[in-house]
Amino acid sequence: MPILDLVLRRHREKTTLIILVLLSLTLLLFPKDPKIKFAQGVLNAMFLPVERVTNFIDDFGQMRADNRRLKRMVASLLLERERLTQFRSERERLRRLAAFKEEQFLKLVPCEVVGRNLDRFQTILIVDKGRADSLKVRMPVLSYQGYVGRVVNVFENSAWVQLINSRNNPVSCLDKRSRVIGILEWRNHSYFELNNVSVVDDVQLGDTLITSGFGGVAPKGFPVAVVTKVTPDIDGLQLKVGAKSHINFRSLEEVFVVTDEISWDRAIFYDRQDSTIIRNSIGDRL
Amino acid sequence: MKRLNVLIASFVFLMLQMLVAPRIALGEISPDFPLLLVAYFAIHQTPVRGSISGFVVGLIQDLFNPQLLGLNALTKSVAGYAVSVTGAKADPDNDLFLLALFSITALGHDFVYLLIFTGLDPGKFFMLLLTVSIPSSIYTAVVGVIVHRIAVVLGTKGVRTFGKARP
Repeated sequence: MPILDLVLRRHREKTTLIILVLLSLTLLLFPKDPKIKFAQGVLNAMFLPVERVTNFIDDFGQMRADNRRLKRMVASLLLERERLTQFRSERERLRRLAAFKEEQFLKLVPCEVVGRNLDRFQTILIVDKGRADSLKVRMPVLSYQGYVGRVVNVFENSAWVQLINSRNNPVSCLDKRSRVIGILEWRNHSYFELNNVSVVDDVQLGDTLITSGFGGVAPKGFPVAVVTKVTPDIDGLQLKVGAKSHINFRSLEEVFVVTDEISWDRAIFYDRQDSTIIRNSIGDRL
Repeated sequence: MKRLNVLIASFVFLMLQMLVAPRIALGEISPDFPLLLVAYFAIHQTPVRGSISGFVVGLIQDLFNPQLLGLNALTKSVAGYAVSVTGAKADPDNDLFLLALFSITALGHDFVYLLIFTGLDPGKFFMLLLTVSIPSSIYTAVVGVIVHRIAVVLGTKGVRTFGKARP
């Protein structure tokens, strides 16, 4: 009893703190899956409706200006696309002649960002598509400007995307010009470091780093960052390659999850369908 | 009524973190509104209430990153306790005192956070501490004093009447 009196009355404040610290440490050591399920349930109930409303208000002001800008962009892209379709057919014919493996076209699911974590040391986005839209864990996620991350958790109508500007989310990349391969890891802000590059490899300032397709998560050929620094490492055997991403990870509003790959033939069908819709919608702009 | 004020203010500060903090961030350097909420609450309260408020706010923040569920709860409980103990010994309406208190609290909070987050890796720890935590602590403190001033000027009860409950 004197011990209880000492703990609960005389040292009530310290006892409370110790209990809370122990409770926090227990939560930290708890298995991951139940924690994630619990958090998802609470978040869905509390914050997603609020985030949707604020996103809608934010978007409304931008909509008119965006619409005008996008129509202009669509018109020019459509012309460019027509030209590229011809190149693509020619390229496919040549690849078939050379007996190369047939390349696939990516099937993208556009997702709206409806939330993000409040942590300053890693970035996880919550998007409004989930299992109902065929999203699965480890699927790659793209933005308009390139590869941004991968799906880490999928729920019925939402999913979590871990961005590449997080610890423990390295990406296998290759130099677009020299085809040198390395592992790109986030350092801070928009800065990354390309590791495993030998001192004899050809990497130069301004080179674009694209996803290599190795590792089975990120599809090949999407830009990730641009080389900003190349210096020999302390050991003299490797290069220290710094790179900067031009994607503003904090302002991502829409992303695209790669859910599947389809053959070029089917993609061409979609091209035609899209082209007709776009032509009708922009009318005489073309 | 006071409980309602606390609930409204908690909601407002969490919304500030979700909606305003990313917009006023300077790169990775952004204010920590949930920590300010804990500090405002704890400064006029007993250490028991300060640490419990820190735990609750931290737990809500952890829901957004459940892989580390408990980390913010831990750091903010300690922060709430520390602010409450310090607040009892000084003038909580003095701007300079608040600036110093918020900076030290934010830095102490990040120190404990990074120790666990980086898994005691000294390279990552010091890099994040120097490039993110120290500037963010100052930013958080400045924003904290500005919010406090606005609350005083507006005579808002929401922020200031969290407390005065210290026995």
